[in-house]
Amino acid sequence: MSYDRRDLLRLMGAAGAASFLPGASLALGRAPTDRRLIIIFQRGAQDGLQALVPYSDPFYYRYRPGIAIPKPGTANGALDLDGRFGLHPALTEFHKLWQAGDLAPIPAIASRYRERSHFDGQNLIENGSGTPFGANDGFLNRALQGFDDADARLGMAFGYTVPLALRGEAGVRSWSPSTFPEADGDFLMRLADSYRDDPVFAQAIEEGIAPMEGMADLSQREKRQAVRAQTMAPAAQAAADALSTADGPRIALIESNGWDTHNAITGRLNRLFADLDQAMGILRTGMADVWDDTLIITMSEFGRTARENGSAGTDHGTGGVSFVAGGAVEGGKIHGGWTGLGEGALYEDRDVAPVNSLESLLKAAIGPHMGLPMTYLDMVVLPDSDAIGPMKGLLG
Amino acid sequence: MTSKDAFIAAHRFGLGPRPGDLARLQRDPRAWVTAQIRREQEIPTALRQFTGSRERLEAITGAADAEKGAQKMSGRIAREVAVPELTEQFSERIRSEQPFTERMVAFWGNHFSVGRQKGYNRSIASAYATEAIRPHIFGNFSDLLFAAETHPAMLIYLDNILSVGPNSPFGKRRKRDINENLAREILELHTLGVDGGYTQKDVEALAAILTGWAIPNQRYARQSARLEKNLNREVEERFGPGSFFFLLHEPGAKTLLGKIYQEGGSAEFRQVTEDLTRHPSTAHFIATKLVRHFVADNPPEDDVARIAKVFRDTEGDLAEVTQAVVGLDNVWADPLPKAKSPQDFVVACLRALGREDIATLALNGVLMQMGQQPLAAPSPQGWPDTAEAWVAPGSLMRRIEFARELATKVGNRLAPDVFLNWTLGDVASDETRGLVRGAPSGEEAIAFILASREFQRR
Repeated sequence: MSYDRRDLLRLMGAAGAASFLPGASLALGRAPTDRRLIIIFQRGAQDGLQALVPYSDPFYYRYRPGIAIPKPGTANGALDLDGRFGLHPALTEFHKLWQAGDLAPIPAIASRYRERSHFDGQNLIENGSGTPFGANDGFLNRALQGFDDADARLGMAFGYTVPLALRGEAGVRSWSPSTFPEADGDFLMRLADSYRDDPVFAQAIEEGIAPMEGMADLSQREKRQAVRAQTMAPAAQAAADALSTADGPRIALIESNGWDTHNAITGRLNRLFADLDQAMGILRTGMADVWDDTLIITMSEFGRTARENGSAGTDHGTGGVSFVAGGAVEGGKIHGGWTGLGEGALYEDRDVAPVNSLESLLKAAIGPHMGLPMTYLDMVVLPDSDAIGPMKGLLG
Repeated sequence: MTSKDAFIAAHRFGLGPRPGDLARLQRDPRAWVTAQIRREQEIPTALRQFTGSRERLEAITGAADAEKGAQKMSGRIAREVAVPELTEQFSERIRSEQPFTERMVAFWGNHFSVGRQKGYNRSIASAYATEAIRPHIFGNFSDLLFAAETHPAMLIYLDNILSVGPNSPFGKRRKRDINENLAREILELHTLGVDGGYTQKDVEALAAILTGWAIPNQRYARQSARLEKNLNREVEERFGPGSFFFLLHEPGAKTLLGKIYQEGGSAEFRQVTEDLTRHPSTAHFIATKLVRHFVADNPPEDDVARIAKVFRDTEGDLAEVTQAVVGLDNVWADPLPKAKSPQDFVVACLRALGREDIATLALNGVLMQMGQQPLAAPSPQGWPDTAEAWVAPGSLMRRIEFARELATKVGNRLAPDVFLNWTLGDVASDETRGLVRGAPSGEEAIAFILASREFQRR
């Protein structure tokens, strides 16, 4: 089966695809960078104050009498970090990374968006322009175009569709679990040929058949499990497999849904954080060989209100929390500023203030970490952002 | 009259031709479409066999006082009623002889998107299209808007059942507050659009107006007997499957989009639906979505302006508006501007093969892997409506694999050249004709037709 698919790639003459041929990577040159960047996009607006708990701030418990995470050392209490902040108790893998110096939590972080619509908030971040409908392609795709060999499909989406952040001129790969029998190579080759005058279909089929070594070997039973489970774990495993190969992708986005916790937040976040934590553990183990080159960022379109609402949940807010993990991060300490939750500290008297900049974090990741020049970032990847510099001290 | 028009009628307006349809449509494709625009919509027989969402909710909330009993009943109804109902709806789309009607039910159901992942929606969201959407697809927009927003599935999905006026009788005793979620989405996603000219203050005012719209609840019912005696007033007002409880409603005048709404209980939101329907931003927003669905992913401005004008002039008469869409020249220009969504694609494949009997197979798993499970849109925005969103590498591979697999079940019983004419007619490209001619087996020829770019577009 995979022999047919390689034949197909050869016939299609896709330059990038050729680098997937086993043993060909030396002859054709490796990927233009060894660095890896994985973004876990938590759609729906993660409640940062439940993820990174400011347990030393009395206002936290005053605002959230029904839902606050108890202090470290008590039942279901936070996992202590530095005497001020703790992690949600389900984030045990994150806590191990912290102890190993491989986790940098960033509180009070927000993009340039200051309204409270999920769709606009996600759009603005994903198109990178600073306005909700400012561009039709994604900032990660434009970053990919900055590498010498943008045709190598250095980008990869893990989810059922390619998100806006990765859409654009640079070809990207995508992964989603499937229980269908694969169509054979001859069939796909003929079909791809008939799509040639339709750019949307031609590009999609070309990228769809780029073989992913390792993933094609999943048994039918494993595939069914992955499809049914609806957790991030299979995507995390696939991402770890793909990104740890020498000629695999270098920038990936993993979709994570369900963070819009307007009600019954406690049980829902217990599940969501446990799932996120498991995915992080899988990435840590699966990427052990390339860990020092790896940066993993969790991010969400915005944060949530500081106070709980009348339904044991929280509503759309501003400042949220990102975690940065990997061997490439200066971990074991809280990064960025924190102005607390007290009187006057809240944004519009309701949200965590946007003290730290998400764009600044992304600039550090795509610039110094991935190796693209800052002028390219300011002009192309995140236009109109020259006033925002890359986050300092983040990289080890 | 060319076969291209028949293709457009069958694939763009319908849900794909069933055997023989293209030949039948050929005589007058436009008339075939417009004959389906009928203000009074009958519920198809097969969809009438299921209990209404009000009965289901009463069974759930009346099951037991304990939350556990309600959850158990909700799960049972989900399995025994909601899942068969979804399957039957899918079958209806496959066998329907009014496929344009079915498309519009899906279009408006997606515009007023609800999900079945949340709370009791697993038991009742499947009834939403039949109860709130279908009766109004060619009626007045304000009726559709009212029915959609006050349906229990929407009230659950966007948290209005949790929203309580802080100065309402219930709110004062229980220290409960307002939830803005439904109000925000009504303005941003259902009527004015995000740039439609509203502010946070308008969201707050609409949220206050919406307090009181909730689902049947034993607790209110117990209070109502007592209160009704004291207040000499009915506690629950019923509007179709939805209910209004003044006990939860924030009292007082509210100012929305510059207009003052005096305290009027349930009448406030009814009035709001009419005012929002007359707002020019709503006309423009709805016109844009319709033109995107029927003309092109990037809707031409002239077409949007024309449809918006009809919407304004008729104050949201959807029969007139839809008629105007069918009358756009651009609709009939290009046969293949749009990509079928995964649901459209699967339905079209099964219609082409005349196989509504495998609807359950199609529902389970297949649509999830293509990224479009019924009633599971990723956000209240609903499913996207562009080729770029749907023709992604992963989901395209799933479509191709589905087509290939489906052909193994039927391929040898069909003559490929006949099947090509049934499904694509004159729109079939030379490339696709070549593929079919050169196919190593009849089975693969059928798979090529289903997986062709023409069949995947509309």
